[in-house]
Amino acid sequence: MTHLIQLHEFDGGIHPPENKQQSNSRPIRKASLPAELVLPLHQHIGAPANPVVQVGDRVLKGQPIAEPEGYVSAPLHAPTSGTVTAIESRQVPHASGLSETCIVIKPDGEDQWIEHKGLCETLGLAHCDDIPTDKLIERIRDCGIAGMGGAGFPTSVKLNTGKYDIDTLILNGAECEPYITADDMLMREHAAEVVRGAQILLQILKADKCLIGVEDNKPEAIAALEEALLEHHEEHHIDVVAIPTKYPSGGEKQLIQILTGKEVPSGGIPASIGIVCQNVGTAVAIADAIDHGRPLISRITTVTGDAVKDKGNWEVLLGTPVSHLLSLSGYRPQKRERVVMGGPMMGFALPTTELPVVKTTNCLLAPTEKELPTNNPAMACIRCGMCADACPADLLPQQLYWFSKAQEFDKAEQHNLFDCIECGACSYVCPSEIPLVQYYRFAKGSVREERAASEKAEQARIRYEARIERQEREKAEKEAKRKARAEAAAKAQSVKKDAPAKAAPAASESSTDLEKLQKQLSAAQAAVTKTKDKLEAARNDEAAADKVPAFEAALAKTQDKIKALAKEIAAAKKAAKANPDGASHGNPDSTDKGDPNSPERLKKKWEMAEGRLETARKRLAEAELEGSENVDALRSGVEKQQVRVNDAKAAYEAAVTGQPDSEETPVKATPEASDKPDIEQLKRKQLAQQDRVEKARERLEMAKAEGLDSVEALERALTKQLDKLAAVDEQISNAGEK
Amino acid sequence: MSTIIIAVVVLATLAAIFGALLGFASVRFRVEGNPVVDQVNDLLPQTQCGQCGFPGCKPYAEAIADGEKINKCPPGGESTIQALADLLGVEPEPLDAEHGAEKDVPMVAYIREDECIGCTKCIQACPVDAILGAAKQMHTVIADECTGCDLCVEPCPVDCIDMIPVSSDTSSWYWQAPTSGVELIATDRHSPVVGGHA
Repeated sequence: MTHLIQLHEFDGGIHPPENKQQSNSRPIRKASLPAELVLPLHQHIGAPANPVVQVGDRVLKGQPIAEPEGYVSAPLHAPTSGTVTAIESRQVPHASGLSETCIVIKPDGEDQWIEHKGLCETLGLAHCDDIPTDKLIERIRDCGIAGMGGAGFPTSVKLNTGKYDIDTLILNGAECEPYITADDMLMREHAAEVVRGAQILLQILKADKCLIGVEDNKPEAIAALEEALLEHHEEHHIDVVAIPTKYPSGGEKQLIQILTGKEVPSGGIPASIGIVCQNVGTAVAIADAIDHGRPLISRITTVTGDAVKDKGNWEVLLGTPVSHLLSLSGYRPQKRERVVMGGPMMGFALPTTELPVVKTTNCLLAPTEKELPTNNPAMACIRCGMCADACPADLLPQQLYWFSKAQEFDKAEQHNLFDCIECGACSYVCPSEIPLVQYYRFAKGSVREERAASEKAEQARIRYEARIERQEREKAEKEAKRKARAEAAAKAQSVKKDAPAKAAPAASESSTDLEKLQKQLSAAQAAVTKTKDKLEAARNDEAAADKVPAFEAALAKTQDKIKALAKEIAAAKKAAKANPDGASHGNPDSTDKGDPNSPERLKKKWEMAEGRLETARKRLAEAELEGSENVDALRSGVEKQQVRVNDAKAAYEAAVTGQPDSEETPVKATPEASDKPDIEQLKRKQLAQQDRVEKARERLEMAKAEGLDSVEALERALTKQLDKLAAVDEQISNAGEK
Repeated sequence: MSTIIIAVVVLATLAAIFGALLGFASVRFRVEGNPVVDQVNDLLPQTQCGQCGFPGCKPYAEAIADGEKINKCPPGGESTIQALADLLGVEPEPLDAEHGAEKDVPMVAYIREDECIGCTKCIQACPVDAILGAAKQMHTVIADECTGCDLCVEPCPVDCIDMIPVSSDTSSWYWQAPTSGVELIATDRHSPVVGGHA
């Protein structure tokens, strides 16, 4: 020790029998390879690791077998070479006795290392002091190092101090819990690595000094560390501090208070007061990882208690079954078998010994009933207050007890339940033998569960509200779209009608009728094309030949329907035009569409019919060549087609020659001068002729407005119509004279 | 006589000033919405299951604020009824069995994916959008978002949705309260232990 360190004291604490001499009298031994290694994926605080090997894979010692999942997580490495025999759910060493996914490796006995080298060598640096901090932290993360004192917090996460400036690094070698001597033996035998680990940590944290806190009941460890410090010329940076033996001086917050006098704020982390605390075992693991590239695959574990003959410390591969380690130590099972993982104060009894050693297993305690009696039934609290005196966190254990028991968790929280470090000092001193810590653990668990539930409820609420909002939005959008569509349609209608403003209700009705009819028409036309396609297909397909007539009938039916619809549309249009007013803005396209008898359409029809006739002829020729049976049928088909073509041609020609009543079934309206003209008949003729003239005029106007080429033809047609009207008038007057 | 007039005038003036002040305050510090609804809504479990007869927790909260009974929420159970009773200052009533029984373990929906035909009916039924999928594509439940409300089970045409209890793992497990030594006899125990997993 080169500096005089002013030691502080924390309130409370207890002095239980140390029971360390049983296991610290002999050097660390290396445990032999077990028959199989079971590696839980969740050996640290945070998310479980993700397996990267398959069952049946051969793995080498130190090979990564699981990668971290998320930020707060740690990878896992194969502790020896062998074969992955299973990735399955197995019981894990946890107070719950629950099962979690584990990777099972059957060692091959060769213990063959994967290629590994120090970080300095990997990066090819000349001076190992120049390694960048992020590379160091990355290596620590890649090597799966998690706090080895007991909590198992991923070390790389703890070293990312972020916004906090760290001035002091504290290495925790206090090991205050009775029976455990793993850190004691580690410091004695691996003092140089502890110092090296401290150097690396100082480099990462850029801290000024390091304090290694060791309880004064470990003089050999203190001596070994000081020697190592002198060897490494680090006595100016790193101090080994002997602290008074008192449980729980090895608690992180307590050790910080002893060494610096600072208290970690409630709910805060040591980094917020410029301190990072690491276990000495973690420091050794870091030194191994950085200097040799060895991941965390083994640890020092104390095996002690009167039920084992051969007490001592073992360097044991992670995943080694507890039973294997116990049998190496000469374990004599008791009547009521009890093996505790961890120390007598904070450890938990294992449900079975077939559980693996994990990164945080510092001790296996197999006590006899005499040595560590099972708890007597708890008696009533006599309110003596000894628990409050013993509490190292300055809490009121009695109050917490009442609140936890009555499940008044909010009050327990007000009494700083979450500052309890669960050291067990209160339970130890309780004269009524009340398992106080268990109540606090229960209360903490309940509160955490409640918090998780309310967090989840909040999330569900947000999602529910988002969903409702989305549904409403979608509805509004749909409504708006519908409205816009309706408006556009109304506008189009009003434009089509010549008098949008003065449109009578009857007219608007007829316009909607017209719309409906046009829709029907287009649907019918689509049906026709479909049926035609089918017909074609059937014709091409010999097998479906018997269906052809049916299709043809369907086609004819639909075509009839179209004709009827066209007629109706024409009638509706006439009705709409019954009250003509203002300039016409008729859209020729739309009238074209609605009007199946427009010249373009008729021409198309004609061409189509001709095409069909052509194919029919071809088919007939083929059939004749092959001497097929259906020659007759085809021939009649061709004839029918020929008739259709002729019809279509006639219709087209009639339309082109400007027959004004081409909208109706083409009727040759040549005025026949009858020898005995009937006035009534003539008058009807006159009315019809007037109507035609009117129509022709309208069409002409429309064409003029649109600037169409057909203006001249229409003008001619109009003159013709006018002439005819004049002729009819004359006839009437003649008839009248008669 | 003048004293009476002075008194009347003074009192009238004061009344006018305070009236104006109160009127201003009621406009200036107006509370939007009914705060009781939000408080009640915070206490409800937000499973959005509709077992209460309302289409979600918020509508039930609104109904409670309007005087609806507080014992219609099976997912919340006795603890929610107690909390609502405390908030509203009414007598807690036992859970109305008509709306279902309280489940002792939280459930989560699970879609047997091989059997899913991709009809999207469960997606439309889920009140918290916890089911992922598209038409004719296999659907799956986002377990973390599922509230275990059961609403997706009914519409499934192929019955490929199961409600399974949320499994406890080592991170959600916690110690149970110890049985007190002086209360070893069953009849001595008063408050039954609730919550947590064995």
